[in-house]
Amino acid sequence: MKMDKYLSQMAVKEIFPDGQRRIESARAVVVGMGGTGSSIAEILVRMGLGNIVIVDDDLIETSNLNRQALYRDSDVGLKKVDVAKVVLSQINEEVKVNAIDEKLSFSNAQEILSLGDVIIDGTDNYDARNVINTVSFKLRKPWVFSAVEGTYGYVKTIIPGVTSCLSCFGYPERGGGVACTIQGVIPTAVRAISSIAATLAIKLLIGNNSDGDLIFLDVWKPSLEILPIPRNENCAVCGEGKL
Amino acid sequence: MKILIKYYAKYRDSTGRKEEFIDVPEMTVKDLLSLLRGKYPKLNEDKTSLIALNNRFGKEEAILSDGDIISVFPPVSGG
Repeated sequence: MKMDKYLSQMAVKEIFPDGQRRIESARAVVVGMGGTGSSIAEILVRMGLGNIVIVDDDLIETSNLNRQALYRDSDVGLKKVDVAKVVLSQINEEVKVNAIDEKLSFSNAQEILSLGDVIIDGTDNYDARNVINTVSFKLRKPWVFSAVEGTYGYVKTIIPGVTSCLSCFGYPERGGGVACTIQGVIPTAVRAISSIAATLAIKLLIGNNSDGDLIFLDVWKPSLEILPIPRNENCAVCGEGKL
Repeated sequence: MKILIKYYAKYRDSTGRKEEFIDVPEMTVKDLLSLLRGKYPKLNEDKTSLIALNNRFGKEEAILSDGDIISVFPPVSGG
């Protein structure tokens, strides 16, 4: 453990004394290396996460650069995971970075998501989140849901068998989502949502579990709402008899 | 009975208000959402909306009571 690098975060009572050791021995899978995924990955790598797996099959586009943390003008046209792996490794040489150049689907999710102690949602569509929600429950892997649009977004911790899941409260299960260039998104909302999502991931990794409330944040007002979501016993994914 | 409806995010633009009180007969939360979609057609731009009863989700089948607070959020897909 490099004490000097992490001294400031280790001084935080929520992390001191064992939290940093747990962070450094932990594995996280970040699905999607767009706005939220790249920002979350950057935070976790700077904090000294032991092993991070990044998953995406997209290319970097010019329209990504205003909000996607790891990419520059000269990276346009390159694979996101290739550039992200290099940049993350340069940010913190102690972190092991594994890049998977694939789109998450039901056919590869079990293998990919089993690589992490925690899964982090950096995706941009309902289909991918449905895959994470369903397969994480089967694997009993906790995960952090994040989504952002316009000036606002949602974040929520999901712990199989403990908290509600996405299907418990009617979050859409199907759909490719709408491109950020069409629906619009302000980079500050991406960073704010990413910061909360990374915090929830760290809490999971150090054993300080969240309660699964849905956090709604609007950076423009600004406003924050925290809404409890009880488990739904009739939930098709995690309802009664599914455990 | 009187219900307080609170709208969030883009739904404030869709409805032109942050919140409102409405009088409704006995109905479920899900029925109320249908009523709101009829009153504000722009809400139909989303196939589904997230709706909480007294700050708790997953209550679509619950019967409304006088003084209940309903919060309506849009689904968000981006990342």
